[in-house]
Amino acid sequence: MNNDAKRSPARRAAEVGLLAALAMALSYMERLIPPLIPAAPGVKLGLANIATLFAMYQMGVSEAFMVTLVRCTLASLLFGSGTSLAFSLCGGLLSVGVMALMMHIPGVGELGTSMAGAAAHNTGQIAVAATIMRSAALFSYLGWLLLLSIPLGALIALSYQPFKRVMPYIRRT
Amino acid sequence: MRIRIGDIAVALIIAAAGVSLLAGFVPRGDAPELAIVTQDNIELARFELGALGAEQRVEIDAPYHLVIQAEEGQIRFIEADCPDQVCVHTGWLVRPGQVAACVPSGVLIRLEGENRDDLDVILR
Repeated sequence: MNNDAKRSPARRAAEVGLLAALAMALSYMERLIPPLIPAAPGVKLGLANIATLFAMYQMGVSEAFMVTLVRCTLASLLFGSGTSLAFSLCGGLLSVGVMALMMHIPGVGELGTSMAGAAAHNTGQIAVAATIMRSAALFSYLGWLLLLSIPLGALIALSYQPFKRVMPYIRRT
Repeated sequence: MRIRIGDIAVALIIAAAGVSLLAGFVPRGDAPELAIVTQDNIELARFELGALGAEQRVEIDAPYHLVIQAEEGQIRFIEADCPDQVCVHTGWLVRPGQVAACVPSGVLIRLEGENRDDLDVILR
C-alpha cells in the first residue's frame, strides 16, 4: 500500500495536491445539485470523500488527513463562511480519524469504513453547530443524517471502486 | 466490492444510533402553539402560532440579513443572505418539535406544542 521508498516528499506533495484539487472540484460540483430530501435540508452526497477514500487506501492515513485539511480549508474560504470552516474541519477530521480506525478492524471493508466516515462527518458537523447555537435541538436532525449516511456512505464506496485501478498508472509516470 | 460482515455491523450500529436520536425528539400533538426564535440561544421573538391572525415578520441584520415569516400555524425562514441557504430550504415548520436553523447566523426557530417540555418522561 505505501511504497515509501518510491515516494519522495515532492511526489507525495504532488499527489496530495492532486487529490485535494479533485476533492474540491467534487465538493463544488455537488452544491449544484438541488436539495435531495425535504426532511434533511443541507444534506450533501459527500462526493469529495471519494478522494479521501482513495488517499486512505492507496496512500496512507497522513495523506488522507492532508487532503481533508486542504479541501475543507480552501472550500470553506472560497464557498462558505467563517463558521463553515469550523464545521467542515471538525466533520472532516473526525471522519478521517474514524475511518483510519475502522480500516484496521478485521471484517470491515471499504463499505463499512465509508459509512462510518459519513456518520462521523455528520456527527462532527452537528456537534459544532449545536455548540455554536447553544442548543440541542439540532440533534434530532442528526438522526436523519445518520440514517442517510448508510446509503450515501455506500454510494461513495461504490464510486471509489473504478479508481482503484488508476494508482498503478499514476505510479508509472 | 465485497460486502463483509463488519460492514453490515457498522450499518446496523449507525441505524440504531440514528433511530434512537429520532425517537428522542418525537413531536407531540399536531397543533403547534409556540414558535420561539433565538440567536445564540438568546430569545429574540416568540409567536403564538395558533392565534396569529395576520402574517408577521422578523428581520435580523447581523451577521447575515434574515427574514422569518410567521403565519397561522406555520413559520419559516423566507430570505437569507447566508452562503448555504439551508435555513430557507428547510421550508415551513408546522409540527411541534420541528426546528429550522441558520447556523452561520446562530439563529434557530423551534416549534413547541401543547406540552412545553420536549421531554418524554419526568421522573420525580
